[in-house]
Amino acid sequence: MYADVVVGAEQLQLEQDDVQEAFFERGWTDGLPIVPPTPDRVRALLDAANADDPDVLIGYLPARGRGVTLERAAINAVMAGCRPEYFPVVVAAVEAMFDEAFNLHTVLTSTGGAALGVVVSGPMAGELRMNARHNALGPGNRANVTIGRAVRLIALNVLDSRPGDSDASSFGHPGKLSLCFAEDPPPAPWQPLHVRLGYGEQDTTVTVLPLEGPHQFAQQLTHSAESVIRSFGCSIRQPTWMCTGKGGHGVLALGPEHAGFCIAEGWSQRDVCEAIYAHSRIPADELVASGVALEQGAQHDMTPAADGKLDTLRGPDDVLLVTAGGEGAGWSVWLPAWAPVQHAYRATRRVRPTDEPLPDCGPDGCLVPWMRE
Amino acid sequence: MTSITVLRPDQDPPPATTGELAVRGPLPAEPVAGVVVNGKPLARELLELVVDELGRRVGRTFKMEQVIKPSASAVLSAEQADVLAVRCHLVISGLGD
Repeated sequence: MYADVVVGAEQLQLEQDDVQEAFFERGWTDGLPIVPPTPDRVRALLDAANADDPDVLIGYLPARGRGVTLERAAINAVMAGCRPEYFPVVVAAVEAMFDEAFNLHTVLTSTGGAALGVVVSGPMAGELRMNARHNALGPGNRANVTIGRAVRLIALNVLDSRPGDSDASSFGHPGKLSLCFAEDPPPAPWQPLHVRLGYGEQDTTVTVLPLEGPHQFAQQLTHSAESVIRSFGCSIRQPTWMCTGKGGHGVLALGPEHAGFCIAEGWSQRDVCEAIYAHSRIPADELVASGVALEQGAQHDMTPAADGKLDTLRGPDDVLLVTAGGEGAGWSVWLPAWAPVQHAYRATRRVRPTDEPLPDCGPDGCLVPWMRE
Repeated sequence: MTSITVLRPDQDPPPATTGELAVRGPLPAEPVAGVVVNGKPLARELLELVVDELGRRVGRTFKMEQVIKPSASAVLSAEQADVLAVRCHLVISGLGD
């Protein structure tokens, strides 16, 4: 079937042994070797996305005058090592990155150096054998690593987000190579992320966030939900995080022990988010005593509330709570956003399964309600 | 040696926007300097210093026209850009960290 799809990107004839060096020399890789994007491999991915028109534009970035077509996305996903069945997830992630709230141009440009974080929730994560448990954020799983790598290669090659040039990251971090994992569906009565975001049980969603590197949280000498969650909130409000006292967001991935303590004590996921928000608020005096100046008359309002505290997270809804990780001594992970919410926010899209046709929008096109948040 | 066909993963840069440059004429006696206050701490104060220094260098006292962005992440609106284009003789359009 995919042989019918006509790919239109410029083709190069290279000696097989020279492909890797040719791609390195042209600046087309992230520093790692790639899978050569042959026309057959690219067609296989396009077929997996049910794409009979490879020139369909997934998104357009006016500030750069550049857009991503299905074909360019597929070429870079092949290079990242994606299997064809991963490609619908890559497409959904790229669509989400173009959400206005995500503010992609700034995310790709800032000196803060954010990763393009990808969280997958829903049955397709299991079907693709994504890893949500031990080493969910580490090596060893092809789907996790290559889906995350694909979105970064798309940013590099199609949106021209080049380190040292239009990507001005002062440091960057390893997650800028790939930062993608799946949610481990929580035990009842907790609900998986995609359901809490308003999607159906059968749906799979991709949520993208601009993220710093993960911060591992240890809580191993208590089984008190209150103690665990309080310690996490206090850890989140570390003084030199860009969002502390300004209203940020992030992903809290609760490990099985910590989630289990909360469920056993009857905490809802909303209870957890509200407690995290409350404990992450920081007294302005504490922030100043830590050596941090409070912004006045600038883009972040750091005027303390009546109780003398500042919000580190804008509100409970700004904790993207998921369950993940493997059993152990008691670990969870906080993945902080790189900047406060007004700069860039998370965005979610439903993954369109291969056998689901695109809607017939007629000659004038239409808006598709992919996003429910 | 075996040759293979591969597809280019990148794309050509967009064509540069073509437009007419503003006429370079002599500054009037009371020129206006436009600045974009990007929301970062002390941005306004820094830009005031820059405009003062510019004035010293060209022997004029600039009146400063400010447009303010809600945050450094926000793109300047077309309306704000039009204000600067209409009212100012020169514009400092970017401010880094």
